[in-house]
Amino acid sequence: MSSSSSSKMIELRSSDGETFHVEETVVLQSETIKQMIDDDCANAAIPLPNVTSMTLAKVIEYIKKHAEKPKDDDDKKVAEEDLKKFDAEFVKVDQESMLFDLVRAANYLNIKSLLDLTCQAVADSIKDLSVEEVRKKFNIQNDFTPEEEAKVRKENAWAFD
Amino acid sequence: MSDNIPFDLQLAIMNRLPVKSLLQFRTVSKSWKYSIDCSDFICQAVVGGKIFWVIDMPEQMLVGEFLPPYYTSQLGDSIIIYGSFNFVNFRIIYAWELEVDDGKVSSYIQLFTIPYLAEHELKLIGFTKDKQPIVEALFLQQLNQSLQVFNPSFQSFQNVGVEANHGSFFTGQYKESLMLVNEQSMGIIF
Repeated sequence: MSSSSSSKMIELRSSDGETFHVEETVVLQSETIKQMIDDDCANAAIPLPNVTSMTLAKVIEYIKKHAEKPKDDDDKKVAEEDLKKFDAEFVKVDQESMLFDLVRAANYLNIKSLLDLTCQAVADSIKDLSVEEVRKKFNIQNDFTPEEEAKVRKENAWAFD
Repeated sequence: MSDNIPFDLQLAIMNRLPVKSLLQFRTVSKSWKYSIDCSDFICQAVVGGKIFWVIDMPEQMLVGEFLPPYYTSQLGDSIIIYGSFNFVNFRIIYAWELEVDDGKVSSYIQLFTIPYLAEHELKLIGFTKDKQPIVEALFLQQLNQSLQVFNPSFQSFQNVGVEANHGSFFTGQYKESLMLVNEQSMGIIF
């Protein structure tokens, strides 16, 4: 991860010890890291104990793409379209656990646009699932008694027409 | 990483689900049911007795002190949603007309506002055919409730001339019927 730009480089260290060098202007999209830099805590490598190298590499790919500045108005339109395409492809991950990892990383690093994007992707992937599948996906314990569950289901029976 | 998604992130995901899925997912767990039932983004409307509509509330309508309960009514093909702001010595009834498309509000406009003094009682019970609100009103100097048509342009009430007890006004649908007139006998057959 290197860049030819003269911008100041920030070093990030993932939970599994891998280091990444990212331009400061790019990394400022993370409110969490921005705060660390503002507080002068970024002289050495910034440890990110909640983010694996695989997830961090993906996050960096995202913020790098989103840091690109269009040159003029014509370019801006093209860039916007391009970014939309990038976002759509970005959340098409092979493993679902990666999407969850990205949600958590976006939340921890406080990158709002990435959190929006990944939460929407999860929502899209679960919206047609059964209740049982949703529980399994989020590892949620069903705390209804069978009677309670039947009652709630009856309340919105009309929603499934 | 096999860590679970923490609940606040589950909520962020829930916020992006379509209403139909949300309703179905009320049975996922008690905390899901509670969050969905108490969310601002669901409004259930009973229209025409047995038809249920579920709509996403536009965010702009949720700001400020305009709090549930919202009341709903039907006007033509659109839904009217209304509620009131309470101030120290006056209230304002706000009404919006919503266009609902596939369970979502596709557009909405503010239909009218009716400001009135807090010591008066006002209840919206229907609409005239040119969308003016009909209210059951109890004004201070009056003994009985009366029917009033509110003119939003002039911000004035017009007494229809009907008085009754509180809660005794209802509105129903007005239907025009066709009559068959038998020309030969010139009689009218119902």
